[in-house]
Amino acid sequence: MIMNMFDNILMIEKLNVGYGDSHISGKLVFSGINLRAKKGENIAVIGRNGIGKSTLLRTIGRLQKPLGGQIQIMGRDIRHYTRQEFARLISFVSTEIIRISNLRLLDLVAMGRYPYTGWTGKLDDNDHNIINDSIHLAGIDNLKYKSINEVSDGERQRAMIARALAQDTEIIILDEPTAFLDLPSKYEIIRLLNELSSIPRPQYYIAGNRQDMAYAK
Amino acid sequence: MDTRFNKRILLILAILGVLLVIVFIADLFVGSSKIPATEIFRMLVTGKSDNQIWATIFFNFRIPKAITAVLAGAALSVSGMQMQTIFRNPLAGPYVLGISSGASLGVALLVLGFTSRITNQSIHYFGNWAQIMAAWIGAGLVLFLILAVSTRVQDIMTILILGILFGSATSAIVSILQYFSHQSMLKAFVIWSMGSLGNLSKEQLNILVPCIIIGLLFSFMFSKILNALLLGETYAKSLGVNIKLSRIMLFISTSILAGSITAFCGPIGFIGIAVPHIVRIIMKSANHYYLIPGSLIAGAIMLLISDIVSLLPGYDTVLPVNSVTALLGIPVVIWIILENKKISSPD
Repeated sequence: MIMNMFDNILMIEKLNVGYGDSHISGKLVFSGINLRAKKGENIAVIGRNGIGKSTLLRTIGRLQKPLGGQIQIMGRDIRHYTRQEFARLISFVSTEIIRISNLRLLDLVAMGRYPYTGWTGKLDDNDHNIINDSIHLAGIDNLKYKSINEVSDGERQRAMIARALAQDTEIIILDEPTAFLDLPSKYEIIRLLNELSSIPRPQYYIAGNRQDMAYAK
Repeated sequence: MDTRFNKRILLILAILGVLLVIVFIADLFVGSSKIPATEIFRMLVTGKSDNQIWATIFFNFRIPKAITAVLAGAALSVSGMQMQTIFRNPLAGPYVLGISSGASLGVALLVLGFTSRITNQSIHYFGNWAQIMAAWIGAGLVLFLILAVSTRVQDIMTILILGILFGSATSAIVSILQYFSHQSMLKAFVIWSMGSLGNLSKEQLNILVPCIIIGLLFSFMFSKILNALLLGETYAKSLGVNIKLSRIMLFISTSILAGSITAFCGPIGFIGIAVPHIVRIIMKSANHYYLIPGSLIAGAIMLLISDIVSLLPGYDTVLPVNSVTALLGIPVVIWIILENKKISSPD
Protein backbone atom coordinates (compact mmCIF):
# COMPACT_ATOMS: atom_id res chain seq x y z
CA MET A 1 0.00 0.00 0.00
CA ILE A 2 0.99 3.63 -0.32
CA MET A 3 3.02 5.00 2.57
CA ASN A 4 1.15 8.32 2.76
CA MET A 5 -1.99 6.52 3.65
CA PHE A 6 -0.36 5.14 6.76
CA ASP A 7 1.19 8.46 7.66
CA ASN A 8 -1.84 9.22 9.75
CA ILE A 9 -2.34 5.92 11.45
CA LEU A 10 -5.18 7.27 13.52
CA MET A 11 -7.58 9.93 12.34
CA ILE A 12 -10.43 11.21 14.46
CA GLU A 13 -12.94 13.68 13.06
CA LYS A 14 -15.73 15.53 14.86
CA LEU A 15 -15.97 12.71 17.36
CA ASN A 16 -18.58 12.88 20.10
CA VAL A 17 -18.07 10.52 23.01
CA GLY A 18 -20.35 9.56 25.85
CA TYR A 19 -22.56 6.84 27.18
CA GLY A 20 -25.58 5.19 25.63
CA ASP A 21 -26.21 3.72 22.22
CA SER A 22 -28.10 6.25 20.17
CA HIS A 23 -27.32 9.81 19.17
CA ILE A 24 -30.48 11.03 20.85
CA SER A 25 -30.72 9.24 24.18
CA GLY A 26 -26.97 8.98 24.88
CA LYS A 27 -25.27 11.11 27.52
CA LEU A 28 -22.72 13.27 25.77
CA VAL A 29 -19.45 13.69 27.67
CA PHE A 30 -17.19 15.45 25.18
CA SER A 31 -17.83 16.55 21.62
CA GLY A 32 -16.03 17.72 18.51
CA ILE A 33 -12.77 15.87 19.03
CA ASN A 34 -10.28 15.99 16.15
CA LEU A 35 -7.00 14.10 16.25
CA ARG A 36 -4.34 12.90 13.85
CA ALA A 37 -1.59 10.57 14.93
CA LYS A 38 1.48 9.27 13.14
CA LYS A 39 3.50 6.13 13.67
CA GLY A 40 5.93 6.24 16.57
CA GLU A 41 4.11 9.08 18.26
CA ASN A 42 3.56 9.10 21.98
CA ILE A 43 0.37 10.95 22.74
CA ALA A 44 -0.90 11.95 26.15
CA VAL A 45 -4.49 12.85 26.82
CA ILE A 46 -4.54 15.38 29.62
CA GLY A 47 -7.48 16.76 31.52
CA ARG A 48 -9.40 16.96 34.74
CA ASN A 49 -11.27 14.06 36.24
CA GLY A 50 -14.60 13.35 34.58
CA ILE A 51 -13.84 15.31 31.43
CA GLY A 52 -14.02 12.17 29.30
CA LYS A 53 -10.43 10.94 28.85
CA SER A 54 -11.30 7.33 29.58
CA THR A 55 -14.47 7.60 27.53
CA LEU A 56 -12.47 8.83 24.55
CA LEU A 57 -9.87 6.06 24.93
CA ARG A 58 -12.54 3.39 25.32
CA THR A 59 -14.33 4.73 22.24
CA ILE A 60 -11.15 4.55 20.17
CA GLY A 61 -10.63 0.99 21.48
CA ARG A 62 -14.18 0.09 20.38
CA LEU A 63 -15.05 -0.76 23.98
CA GLN A 64 -17.96 1.68 23.69
CA LYS A 65 -19.78 3.24 20.79
CA PRO A 66 -19.18 6.79 19.55
CA LEU A 67 -22.14 9.17 19.71
CA GLY A 68 -21.12 10.81 16.46
CA GLY A 69 -18.21 11.57 14.17
CA GLN A 70 -15.62 9.21 12.77
CA ILE A 71 -12.60 7.23 13.86
CA GLN A 72 -10.31 5.84 11.19
CA ILE A 73 -7.35 3.56 11.70
CA MET A 74 -5.05 2.91 8.73
CA GLY A 75 -7.52 4.84 6.59
CA ARG A 76 -10.48 2.64 7.44
CA ASP A 77 -13.44 3.26 9.70
CA ILE A 78 -12.99 1.25 12.89
CA ARG A 79 -16.55 -0.11 12.64
CA HIS A 80 -15.57 -1.97 9.48
CA TYR A 81 -12.93 -4.16 11.09
CA THR A 82 -13.79 -7.62 12.34
CA ARG A 83 -13.17 -8.40 16.02
CA GLN A 84 -10.00 -10.31 15.21
CA GLU A 85 -8.67 -7.68 12.80
CA PHE A 86 -9.32 -4.98 15.36
CA ALA A 87 -7.62 -6.94 18.15
CA ARG A 88 -4.52 -6.99 15.91
CA LEU A 89 -4.69 -3.20 15.56
CA ILE A 90 -5.30 -1.94 19.09
CA SER A 91 -4.38 -3.32 22.47
CA PHE A 92 -5.56 -1.94 25.76
CA VAL A 93 -4.07 -1.50 29.22
CA SER A 94 -6.36 -0.25 31.97
CA THR A 95 -6.07 0.55 35.65
CA GLU A 96 -8.09 -2.51 36.58
CA ILE A 97 -6.13 -4.66 38.99
CA ILE A 98 -5.93 -8.23 37.82
CA ARG A 99 -5.60 -10.53 40.79
CA ILE A 100 -5.88 -14.13 39.68
CA SER A 101 -4.21 -16.79 41.74
CA ASN A 102 -1.94 -19.16 39.84
CA LEU A 103 -1.83 -16.99 36.71
CA ARG A 104 1.85 -16.78 35.86
CA LEU A 105 3.17 -13.61 34.23
CA LEU A 106 4.33 -15.72 31.28
CA ASP A 107 0.78 -17.02 30.72
CA LEU A 108 -0.65 -13.53 31.14
CA VAL A 109 1.67 -12.14 28.45
CA ALA A 110 0.88 -15.16 26.25
CA MET A 111 -2.77 -14.09 26.29
CA GLY A 112 -1.70 -11.22 24.05
CA ARG A 113 -1.35 -13.79 21.26
CA TYR A 114 -5.10 -14.51 21.49
CA PRO A 115 -6.03 -12.82 18.17
CA TYR A 116 -3.39 -14.86 16.32
CA THR A 117 -4.02 -18.40 17.55
CA GLY A 118 -6.67 -20.92 16.53
CA TRP A 119 -9.40 -22.23 18.78
CA THR A 120 -6.96 -24.58 20.50
CA GLY A 121 -4.88 -21.57 21.52
CA LYS A 122 -1.69 -23.37 20.51
CA LEU A 123 1.36 -21.13 20.32
CA ASP A 124 3.96 -21.67 17.61
CA ASP A 125 7.67 -20.73 17.69
CA ASN A 126 6.95 -17.26 16.37
CA ASP A 127 4.39 -16.68 19.13
CA HIS A 128 6.90 -17.85 21.76
CA ASN A 129 9.56 -15.51 20.37
CA ILE A 130 7.20 -12.53 20.46
CA ILE A 131 6.13 -13.40 24.02
CA ASN A 132 9.73 -13.64 25.21
CA ASP A 133 10.69 -10.39 23.43
CA SER A 134 7.76 -8.61 25.04
CA ILE A 135 8.69 -9.90 28.47
CA HIS A 136 12.26 -8.78 27.90
CA LEU A 137 11.23 -5.30 26.70
CA ALA A 138 9.05 -4.83 29.74
CA GLY A 139 11.97 -5.87 31.94
CA ILE A 140 10.26 -8.69 33.76
CA ASP A 141 12.41 -11.65 32.59
CA ASN A 142 13.20 -12.68 36.15
CA LEU A 143 9.52 -12.67 37.14
CA LYS A 144 7.96 -14.60 34.31
CA TYR A 145 7.30 -17.77 36.28
CA LYS A 146 5.82 -15.86 39.20
CA SER A 147 2.10 -15.69 39.80
CA ILE A 148 0.39 -12.35 39.14
CA ASN A 149 -0.73 -12.05 42.76
CA GLU A 150 2.82 -12.49 44.05
CA VAL A 151 4.34 -9.43 42.35
CA SER A 152 4.15 -5.72 43.18
CA ASP A 153 1.65 -3.34 41.56
CA GLY A 154 4.36 -1.84 39.37
CA GLU A 155 5.57 -5.24 38.22
CA ARG A 156 2.02 -6.32 37.45
CA GLN A 157 1.51 -3.20 35.33
CA ARG A 158 4.73 -3.99 33.45
CA ALA A 159 3.31 -7.44 32.77
CA MET A 160 0.08 -5.89 31.46
CA ILE A 161 2.16 -3.71 29.14
CA ALA A 162 4.14 -6.78 28.02
CA ARG A 163 0.83 -8.48 27.26
CA ALA A 164 -0.17 -5.49 25.10
CA LEU A 165 3.22 -5.67 23.34
CA ALA A 166 2.73 -9.38 22.65
CA GLN A 167 -0.57 -8.50 21.00
CA ASP A 168 1.68 -6.83 18.38
CA THR A 169 -0.70 -4.00 17.51
CA GLU A 170 -0.30 -0.71 15.67
CA ILE A 171 -1.63 1.19 18.66
CA ILE A 172 -1.52 0.61 22.40
CA ILE A 173 -4.05 2.48 24.47
CA LEU A 174 -3.16 2.94 28.10
CA ASP A 175 -5.91 4.27 30.32
CA GLU A 176 -4.25 5.74 33.42
CA PRO A 177 -1.52 3.11 33.37
CA THR A 178 0.14 4.45 36.49
CA ALA A 179 -2.84 5.03 38.75
CA PHE A 180 -2.47 3.31 42.13
CA LEU A 181 1.31 3.11 41.69
CA ASP A 182 3.78 4.76 44.03
CA LEU A 183 5.99 7.55 42.72
CA PRO A 184 9.05 5.49 41.71
CA SER A 185 6.86 2.92 39.95
CA LYS A 186 4.96 5.67 38.11
CA TYR A 187 8.27 7.06 36.93
CA GLU A 188 9.52 3.66 35.82
CA ILE A 189 6.38 2.87 33.85
CA ILE A 190 6.49 6.21 32.03
CA ARG A 191 10.18 5.71 31.28
CA LEU A 192 9.41 2.24 29.97
CA LEU A 193 6.72 3.65 27.68
CA ASN A 194 9.12 6.29 26.35
CA GLU A 195 11.77 3.64 25.69
CA LEU A 196 9.26 1.47 23.91
CA SER A 197 8.17 4.21 21.52
CA SER A 198 11.77 4.80 20.46
CA ILE A 199 12.39 1.22 19.35
CA PRO A 200 11.47 0.19 15.81
CA ARG A 201 8.09 -1.30 16.58
CA PRO A 202 4.99 0.02 14.96
CA GLN A 203 3.16 1.21 18.03
CA TYR A 204 2.47 4.53 19.46
CA TYR A 205 0.84 5.10 22.75
CA ILE A 206 -2.05 6.98 24.13
CA ALA A 207 -1.95 7.43 27.84
CA GLY A 208 -4.51 9.23 29.87
CA ASN A 209 -3.52 10.76 33.17
CA ARG A 210 -2.31 14.28 33.77
CA GLN A 211 -0.09 13.41 36.74
CA ASP A 212 1.76 10.82 34.71
CA MET A 213 2.83 13.36 32.19
CA ALA A 214 4.18 15.64 34.89
CA TYR A 215 6.49 12.83 35.97
CA ALA A 216 7.35 11.90 32.43
CA LYS A 217 9.07 15.24 31.90
CA MET B 1 11.57 -24.56 33.02
CA ASP B 2 8.35 -24.17 31.10
CA THR B 3 8.58 -27.66 29.65
CA ARG B 4 9.08 -28.87 33.21
CA PHE B 5 5.88 -27.02 34.15
CA ASN B 6 3.96 -28.70 31.33
CA LYS B 7 5.42 -32.09 32.22
CA ARG B 8 4.33 -31.64 35.83
CA ILE B 9 0.77 -30.90 34.70
CA LEU B 10 0.69 -33.92 32.41
CA LEU B 11 1.97 -36.02 35.29
CA ILE B 12 -0.83 -34.70 37.53
CA LEU B 13 -3.40 -35.53 34.86
CA ALA B 14 -1.94 -39.03 34.51
CA ILE B 15 -2.02 -39.60 38.29
CA LEU B 16 -5.62 -38.34 38.43
CA GLY B 17 -6.49 -40.72 35.59
CA VAL B 18 -5.02 -43.70 37.43
CA LEU B 19 -6.82 -42.65 40.63
CA LEU B 20 -10.08 -42.43 38.71
CA VAL B 21 -9.72 -46.03 37.50
CA ILE B 22 -8.91 -47.23 41.04
CA VAL B 23 -11.84 -45.39 42.63
CA PHE B 24 -14.20 -46.49 39.85
CA ILE B 25 -13.33 -50.14 40.46
CA ALA B 26 -13.50 -49.66 44.25
CA ASP B 27 -17.01 -48.23 43.82
CA LEU B 28 -18.08 -51.44 42.09
CA PHE B 29 -17.08 -53.47 45.15
CA VAL B 30 -19.36 -51.68 47.59
CA GLY B 31 -23.13 -51.80 47.79
CA SER B 32 -25.96 -52.70 50.13
CA SER B 33 -26.03 -56.31 48.96
CA LYS B 34 -22.90 -58.32 49.62
CA ILE B 35 -21.14 -59.85 46.64
CA PRO B 36 -17.83 -61.61 47.27
CA ALA B 37 -14.81 -59.72 45.98
CA THR B 38 -13.56 -62.69 43.99
CA GLU B 39 -16.91 -62.85 42.20
CA ILE B 40 -16.73 -59.14 41.32
CA PHE B 41 -13.24 -59.65 39.92
CA ARG B 42 -14.51 -62.50 37.80
CA MET B 43 -17.45 -60.45 36.51
CA LEU B 44 -15.12 -57.54 35.75
CA VAL B 45 -12.76 -59.72 33.74
CA THR B 46 -15.09 -62.25 32.10
CA GLY B 47 -18.32 -60.25 32.09
CA LYS B 48 -20.24 -63.26 33.40
CA SER B 49 -21.32 -64.84 36.68
CA ASP B 50 -22.87 -68.15 37.67
CA ASN B 51 -25.07 -66.38 40.18
CA GLN B 52 -27.87 -64.65 38.24
CA ILE B 53 -28.82 -62.29 41.10
CA TRP B 54 -25.24 -61.08 41.55
CA ALA B 55 -24.89 -60.57 37.82
CA THR B 56 -28.09 -58.50 37.75
CA ILE B 57 -26.99 -56.35 40.67
CA PHE B 58 -23.53 -55.86 39.21
CA PHE B 59 -24.43 -55.12 35.60
CA ASN B 60 -27.78 -53.41 36.04
CA PHE B 61 -27.13 -51.42 39.20
CA ARG B 62 -23.51 -51.02 40.22
CA ILE B 63 -21.97 -50.32 36.81
CA PRO B 64 -24.67 -47.81 35.74
CA LYS B 65 -24.38 -46.13 39.15
CA ALA B 66 -20.60 -45.81 38.89
CA ILE B 67 -20.94 -44.43 35.35
CA THR B 68 -23.54 -41.95 36.61
CA ALA B 69 -21.16 -40.87 39.38
CA VAL B 70 -18.40 -40.24 36.82
CA LEU B 71 -20.74 -38.23 34.57
CA ALA B 72 -22.25 -36.23 37.43
CA GLY B 73 -18.93 -35.48 39.11
CA ALA B 74 -17.33 -34.42 35.82
CA ALA B 75 -20.33 -32.31 34.72
CA LEU B 76 -20.80 -30.50 38.03
CA SER B 77 -17.09 -29.71 38.46
CA VAL B 78 -16.64 -28.46 34.93
CA SER B 79 -19.78 -26.31 35.16
CA GLY B 80 -18.47 -24.96 38.48
CA MET B 81 -15.12 -24.13 36.89
CA GLN B 82 -16.84 -22.30 34.03
CA MET B 83 -19.03 -20.30 36.38
CA GLN B 84 -16.14 -19.31 38.62
CA THR B 85 -14.40 -17.90 35.54
CA ILE B 86 -17.46 -16.21 34.02
CA PHE B 87 -18.44 -14.55 37.29
CA ARG B 88 -14.79 -14.08 38.33
CA ASN B 89 -15.98 -15.40 41.65
CA PRO B 90 -14.21 -18.12 43.62
CA LEU B 91 -17.46 -19.11 45.32
CA ALA B 92 -19.57 -19.56 42.21
CA GLY B 93 -20.96 -22.99 41.50
CA PRO B 94 -24.16 -24.53 40.20
CA TYR B 95 -25.50 -25.24 43.69
CA VAL B 96 -24.57 -22.05 45.55
CA LEU B 97 -25.76 -19.71 42.81
CA GLY B 98 -29.14 -21.39 42.67
CA ILE B 99 -28.70 -23.08 39.27
CA SER B 100 -29.53 -26.47 40.76
CA SER B 101 -32.54 -24.93 42.51
CA GLY B 102 -33.69 -23.53 39.18
CA ALA B 103 -33.38 -26.97 37.66
CA SER B 104 -35.29 -28.39 40.66
CA LEU B 105 -38.08 -25.91 40.07
CA GLY B 106 -38.33 -27.01 36.46
CA VAL B 107 -38.50 -30.66 37.50
CA ALA B 108 -40.94 -29.89 40.36
CA LEU B 109 -43.28 -28.06 38.01
CA LEU B 110 -43.20 -31.06 35.72
CA VAL B 111 -43.40 -33.85 38.30
CA LEU B 112 -45.79 -32.22 40.75
CA GLY B 113 -47.69 -29.90 38.49
CA PHE B 114 -48.26 -31.62 35.18
CA THR B 115 -47.55 -35.33 35.28
CA SER B 116 -50.78 -36.05 37.13
CA ARG B 117 -52.53 -35.05 33.92
CA ILE B 118 -50.43 -37.28 31.69
CA THR B 119 -50.92 -41.03 31.63
CA ASN B 120 -48.12 -43.18 32.92
CA GLN B 121 -47.34 -44.75 29.57
CA SER B 122 -46.83 -41.46 27.78
CA ILE B 123 -44.33 -40.14 30.33
CA HIS B 124 -42.27 -43.29 30.19
CA TYR B 125 -39.96 -42.25 27.37
CA PHE B 126 -41.13 -38.78 26.53
CA GLY B 127 -41.04 -38.03 30.27
CA ASN B 128 -37.27 -38.40 30.48
CA TRP B 129 -36.75 -35.77 27.84
CA ALA B 130 -39.41 -33.55 29.39
CA GLN B 131 -37.67 -33.87 32.75
CA ILE B 132 -34.24 -33.00 31.39
CA MET B 133 -35.58 -30.08 29.35
CA ALA B 134 -37.53 -28.73 32.30
CA ALA B 135 -34.28 -28.79 34.27
CA TRP B 136 -32.35 -27.03 31.47
CA ILE B 137 -34.94 -24.28 31.25
CA GLY B 138 -35.03 -23.83 35.03
CA ALA B 139 -31.24 -23.73 35.25
CA GLY B 140 -30.97 -21.37 32.28
CA LEU B 141 -33.53 -18.96 33.74
CA VAL B 142 -31.69 -18.62 37.05
CA LEU B 143 -28.37 -18.18 35.20
CA PHE B 144 -29.77 -15.33 33.11
CA LEU B 145 -31.24 -13.67 36.20
CA ILE B 146 -27.86 -13.80 37.92
CA LEU B 147 -26.09 -12.52 34.82
CA ALA B 148 -28.56 -9.63 34.49
CA VAL B 149 -27.78 -8.67 38.07
CA SER B 150 -24.02 -9.17 37.76
CA THR B 151 -23.79 -6.64 34.94
CA ARG B 152 -25.20 -3.99 37.28
CA VAL B 153 -23.62 -5.02 40.56
CA GLN B 154 -19.87 -5.54 40.63
CA ASP B 155 -19.50 -6.66 44.24
CA ILE B 156 -18.94 -10.39 44.35
CA MET B 157 -20.58 -10.97 47.70
CA THR B 158 -23.74 -9.16 46.59
CA ILE B 159 -24.06 -11.38 43.54
CA LEU B 160 -23.51 -14.42 45.69
CA ILE B 161 -26.17 -13.36 48.21
CA LEU B 162 -28.59 -12.66 45.36
CA GLY B 163 -27.86 -16.12 43.97
CA ILE B 164 -28.69 -17.63 47.35
CA LEU B 165 -31.90 -15.58 47.43
CA PHE B 166 -32.89 -16.77 43.94
CA GLY B 167 -32.24 -20.28 45.17
CA SER B 168 -34.41 -19.72 48.23
CA ALA B 169 -37.20 -18.21 46.15
CA THR B 170 -37.25 -21.19 43.81
CA SER B 171 -37.16 -23.54 46.82
CA ALA B 172 -40.16 -21.68 48.26
CA ILE B 173 -42.11 -22.19 45.04
CA VAL B 174 -41.12 -25.85 45.12
CA SER B 175 -42.46 -26.09 48.70
CA ILE B 176 -45.79 -24.59 47.64
CA LEU B 177 -45.99 -27.13 44.81
CA GLN B 178 -45.23 -29.91 47.27
CA TYR B 179 -47.97 -28.69 49.60
CA PHE B 180 -50.61 -28.98 46.92
CA SER B 181 -49.43 -32.16 45.26
CA HIS B 182 -50.57 -35.73 45.53
CA GLN B 183 -48.95 -37.98 48.11
CA SER B 184 -47.39 -40.47 45.70
CA MET B 185 -45.96 -37.72 43.52
CA LEU B 186 -44.65 -35.99 46.60
CA LYS B 187 -42.75 -39.02 47.81
CA ALA B 188 -41.14 -39.49 44.39
CA PHE B 189 -40.12 -35.83 44.37
CA VAL B 190 -38.70 -35.81 47.91
CA ILE B 191 -36.58 -38.87 47.18
CA TRP B 192 -35.38 -37.21 43.96
CA SER B 193 -34.46 -34.04 45.86
CA MET B 194 -32.16 -35.96 48.22
CA GLY B 195 -29.94 -36.77 45.30
CA SER B 196 -29.22 -40.24 44.11
CA LEU B 197 -26.85 -41.76 41.61
CA GLY B 198 -28.43 -45.19 41.59
CA ASN B 199 -31.97 -44.56 40.38
CA LEU B 200 -31.23 -44.08 36.72
CA SER B 201 -32.86 -46.35 34.20
CA LYS B 202 -31.01 -47.50 31.07
CA GLU B 203 -33.10 -45.08 29.01
CA GLN B 204 -32.17 -42.18 31.28
CA LEU B 205 -28.50 -43.10 31.09
CA ASN B 206 -28.79 -43.24 27.31
CA ILE B 207 -30.02 -39.66 27.36
CA LEU B 208 -27.57 -38.47 30.00
CA VAL B 209 -24.38 -39.73 28.33
CA PRO B 210 -24.72 -37.77 25.06
CA CYS B 211 -25.96 -34.63 26.89
CA ILE B 212 -22.96 -34.58 29.21
CA ILE B 213 -20.52 -35.33 26.39
CA ILE B 214 -21.95 -32.42 24.38
CA GLY B 215 -21.76 -30.12 27.42
CA LEU B 216 -18.16 -31.10 28.11
CA LEU B 217 -17.19 -30.69 24.44
CA PHE B 218 -18.56 -27.14 24.60
CA SER B 219 -16.36 -26.55 27.59
CA PHE B 220 -13.22 -27.82 25.87
CA MET B 221 -13.96 -25.73 22.80
CA PHE B 222 -14.35 -22.61 24.93
CA SER B 223 -11.14 -23.06 26.92
CA LYS B 224 -9.41 -20.31 24.97
CA ILE B 225 -12.29 -17.90 25.60
CA LEU B 226 -12.42 -18.86 29.28
CA ASN B 227 -8.72 -18.00 29.56
CA ALA B 228 -9.37 -14.56 28.09
CA LEU B 229 -12.42 -14.02 30.32
CA LEU B 230 -10.19 -14.48 33.37
CA LEU B 231 -8.92 -10.94 32.72
CA GLY B 232 -12.42 -9.49 32.79
CA GLU B 233 -14.73 -8.13 30.15
CA THR B 234 -12.66 -5.12 29.01
CA TYR B 235 -9.50 -7.09 28.39
CA ALA B 236 -11.35 -10.02 26.84
CA LYS B 237 -13.08 -7.63 24.45
CA SER B 238 -9.80 -5.95 23.51
CA LEU B 239 -8.40 -9.40 22.69
CA GLY B 240 -11.22 -9.91 20.20
CA VAL B 241 -13.61 -12.04 22.24
CA ASN B 242 -17.28 -11.79 21.31
CA ILE B 243 -18.49 -11.36 24.89
CA LYS B 244 -22.23 -11.73 24.32
CA LEU B 245 -21.97 -14.83 22.16
CA SER B 246 -19.43 -16.53 24.44
CA ARG B 247 -21.55 -15.86 27.51
CA ILE B 248 -24.63 -17.34 25.86
CA MET B 249 -22.69 -20.40 24.69
CA LEU B 250 -21.10 -20.92 28.11
CA PHE B 251 -24.48 -20.52 29.79
CA ILE B 252 -25.99 -23.10 27.47
CA SER B 253 -23.13 -25.45 28.30
CA THR B 254 -23.51 -24.83 32.07
CA SER B 255 -27.28 -25.31 31.89
CA ILE B 256 -26.88 -28.57 29.97
CA LEU B 257 -24.25 -29.88 32.38
CA ALA B 258 -25.78 -28.84 35.70
CA GLY B 259 -29.39 -29.17 34.49
CA SER B 260 -29.05 -32.69 33.06
CA ILE B 261 -27.44 -34.02 36.22
CA THR B 262 -29.99 -32.30 38.45
CA ALA B 263 -32.83 -33.68 36.34
CA PHE B 264 -31.87 -37.32 36.88
CA CYS B 265 -29.76 -37.36 40.06
CA GLY B 266 -31.37 -34.55 42.04
CA PRO B 267 -29.50 -31.50 43.31
CA ILE B 268 -25.96 -32.52 44.29
CA GLY B 269 -24.14 -29.72 46.07
CA PHE B 270 -20.62 -28.45 46.64
CA ILE B 271 -18.82 -30.66 44.10
CA GLY B 272 -19.09 -27.72 41.69
CA ILE B 273 -17.38 -25.26 44.04
CA ALA B 274 -14.86 -27.44 45.81
CA VAL B 275 -13.35 -29.48 42.98
CA PRO B 276 -12.22 -26.59 40.72
CA HIS B 277 -10.35 -25.09 43.68
CA ILE B 278 -8.66 -28.32 44.57
CA VAL B 279 -7.61 -28.68 40.91
CA ARG B 280 -6.24 -25.11 40.73
CA ILE B 281 -4.21 -25.70 43.87
CA ILE B 282 -2.79 -29.01 42.67
CA MET B 283 -2.02 -27.76 39.15
CA LYS B 284 -0.85 -24.26 40.14
CA SER B 285 -2.16 -22.99 36.82
CA ALA B 286 -4.95 -20.72 35.60
CA ASN B 287 -4.97 -22.21 32.10
CA HIS B 288 -8.31 -23.80 31.23
CA TYR B 289 -6.69 -26.19 28.77
CA TYR B 290 -5.36 -27.93 31.88
CA LEU B 291 -8.04 -27.00 34.41
CA ILE B 292 -11.04 -28.32 32.45
CA PRO B 293 -9.70 -31.88 32.00
CA GLY B 294 -8.35 -31.71 35.57
CA SER B 295 -11.79 -30.75 36.95
CA LEU B 296 -13.45 -33.37 34.83
CA ILE B 297 -11.34 -36.21 36.25
CA ALA B 298 -11.10 -34.86 39.81
CA GLY B 299 -14.88 -34.29 39.93
CA ALA B 300 -15.53 -37.87 38.88
CA ILE B 301 -13.11 -39.11 41.56
CA MET B 302 -14.70 -36.90 44.22
CA LEU B 303 -18.23 -38.08 43.49
CA LEU B 304 -17.17 -41.73 43.34
CA ILE B 305 -15.56 -41.31 46.77
CA SER B 306 -18.75 -39.60 48.04
CA ASP B 307 -20.74 -42.53 46.72
CA ILE B 308 -18.49 -45.06 48.47
CA VAL B 309 -18.79 -43.08 51.73
CA SER B 310 -22.58 -42.81 51.36
CA LEU B 311 -22.84 -46.58 51.15
CA LEU B 312 -21.17 -46.81 54.55
CA PRO B 313 -19.19 -49.96 53.75
CA GLY B 314 -19.95 -52.56 56.42
CA TYR B 315 -23.41 -51.19 57.23
CA ASP B 316 -26.77 -51.86 55.62
CA THR B 317 -28.00 -48.26 55.49
CA VAL B 318 -27.32 -45.85 52.62
CA LEU B 319 -26.95 -42.10 53.12
CA PRO B 320 -28.28 -39.59 50.58
CA VAL B 321 -25.27 -38.69 48.41
CA ASN B 322 -26.23 -35.02 48.66
CA SER B 323 -25.42 -35.00 52.39
CA VAL B 324 -22.06 -36.65 51.82
CA THR B 325 -20.95 -34.18 49.14
CA ALA B 326 -22.02 -31.34 51.44
CA LEU B 327 -20.02 -32.71 54.37
CA LEU B 328 -16.96 -33.26 52.16
CA GLY B 329 -17.33 -29.99 50.21
CA ILE B 330 -18.24 -27.46 52.89
CA PRO B 331 -14.84 -27.60 54.67
CA VAL B 332 -13.21 -26.72 51.33
CA VAL B 333 -15.60 -23.77 50.87
CA ILE B 334 -14.92 -22.52 54.41
CA TRP B 335 -11.22 -22.76 53.68
CA ILE B 336 -11.65 -20.73 50.44
CA ILE B 337 -13.45 -17.99 52.36
CA LEU B 338 -10.77 -17.86 55.05
CA GLU B 339 -7.98 -17.84 52.44
CA ASN B 340 -9.58 -15.06 50.39
CA LYS B 341 -10.54 -12.54 53.03
CA LYS B 342 -10.38 -9.89 50.34
CA ILE B 343 -13.12 -11.53 48.27
CA SER B 344 -15.82 -9.09 49.29
CA SER B 345 -13.84 -5.90 48.77
CA PRO B 346 -14.20 -4.60 45.22
CA ASP B 347 -10.97 -3.38 43.65
